[in-house]
Amino acid sequence: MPKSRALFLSMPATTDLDALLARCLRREPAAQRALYLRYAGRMLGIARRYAYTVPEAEDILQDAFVKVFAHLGDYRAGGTLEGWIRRIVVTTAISHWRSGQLRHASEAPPLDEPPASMAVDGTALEGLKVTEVLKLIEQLPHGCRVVLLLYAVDGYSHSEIAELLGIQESTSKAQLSKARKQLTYLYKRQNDFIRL
Amino acid sequence: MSTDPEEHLLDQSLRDAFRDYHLPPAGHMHVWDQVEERIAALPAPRTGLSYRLVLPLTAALGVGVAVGWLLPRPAAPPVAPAAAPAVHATTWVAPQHAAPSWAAHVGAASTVACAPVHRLASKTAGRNAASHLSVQLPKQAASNPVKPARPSKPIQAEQVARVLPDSATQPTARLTALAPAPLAADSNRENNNLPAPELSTAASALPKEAPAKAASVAPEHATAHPAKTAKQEEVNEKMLYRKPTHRQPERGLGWRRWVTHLSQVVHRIL
Repeated sequence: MPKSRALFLSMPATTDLDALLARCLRREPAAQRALYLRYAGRMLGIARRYAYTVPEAEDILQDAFVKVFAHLGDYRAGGTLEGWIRRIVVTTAISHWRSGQLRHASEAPPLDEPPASMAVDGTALEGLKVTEVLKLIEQLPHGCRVVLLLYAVDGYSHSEIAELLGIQESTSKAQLSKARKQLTYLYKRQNDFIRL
Repeated sequence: MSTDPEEHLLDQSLRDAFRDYHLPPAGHMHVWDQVEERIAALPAPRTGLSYRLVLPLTAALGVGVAVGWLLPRPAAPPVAPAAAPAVHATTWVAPQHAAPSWAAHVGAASTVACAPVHRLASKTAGRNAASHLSVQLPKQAASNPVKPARPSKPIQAEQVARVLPDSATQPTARLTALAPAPLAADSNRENNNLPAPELSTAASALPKEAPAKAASVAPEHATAHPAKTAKQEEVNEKMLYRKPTHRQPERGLGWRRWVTHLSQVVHRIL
């Protein structure tokens, strides 16, 4: 085997994703479509958590992917591309909520306050399907719901949530605590209704 | 923040529930159609100068500026004394104080260095003017470039009599009478544009009797107008040593101008 060929083979091969990114940066439509198909399903699921309906989630997804392709040159290889796109989807969903584009933001029915002595049950959601969990979460007040999703599911810290939503850290903590209690209360109320 | 284990469990169950949650993109391809439409309308990425080109250019420019700044520069030319008053003083003073033959020779060179000639005429009337001239004039001729001179007319006795009182006109008339014919003709020469080497020649060619005559005439004139001469001298001294009040060449803070220039160039390139 010639020396130059051996040297070439010993070099780290560029992954498919790097090649795809390079083609996307050159604005090749086929590559852009491939990137969309690669991440759209997962990102639509994330958008659906923050939205109330699938069409709202699709609006979020559309805006998010336009941002992705517009700022793809800013992506650095320090983190994963999926994590970078995920953050874009989440911030787009938050901006949709703050601008009032989510139809149900102000239409959520008021909830009964859980009893003060009620404790959080950690096993409440075990065994539930994702659609059932989504239905429970959709009944939460939107502020509590967003803080719960950001903190518990997407791993944001209270300081990041405070910066993202424009609230105090203490408010974020209070909303999270309230969301957990409400979720447990909703689950128990639903179970009691089914048993009856 | 200490998390309650129950809260931690609830968060974990939420994460588990949404871990693999996704909606198949095949059913939402209309979203891609809209995305494709919108990204096609995006402006093309700007193809500016790459860092590979800009950085070496900037570095080379910086090095050039630094080298240019550190290189020895020629000393700033000395500020020339005010010339206009000296010319005026020469036409006034030289014929009054000095001997006619001496004044005729100086008149030829006076357009090259008027101020030293005046100083010589006023201060060293009794000294050896020729030796002083041979030292002073070449220096001035070397520092000041020779300019085309205006033709100097000899002051006639009638002109002086019109301006000055009788007591003042009398010594001037005597001076004019004392001047020998060839020297008076020399003073009428219009070509005062002497090169520097000729000045020393002219100074060395001064007649020997010039100091003696100056010494014999000057005290007589000095007794006639002591107050006026002293005052005139004082005024001339002030004029000679007066510093020009117009804008001086800028000193210091040159690096700021360079930094401003550099930033403008870089901005223009980008």
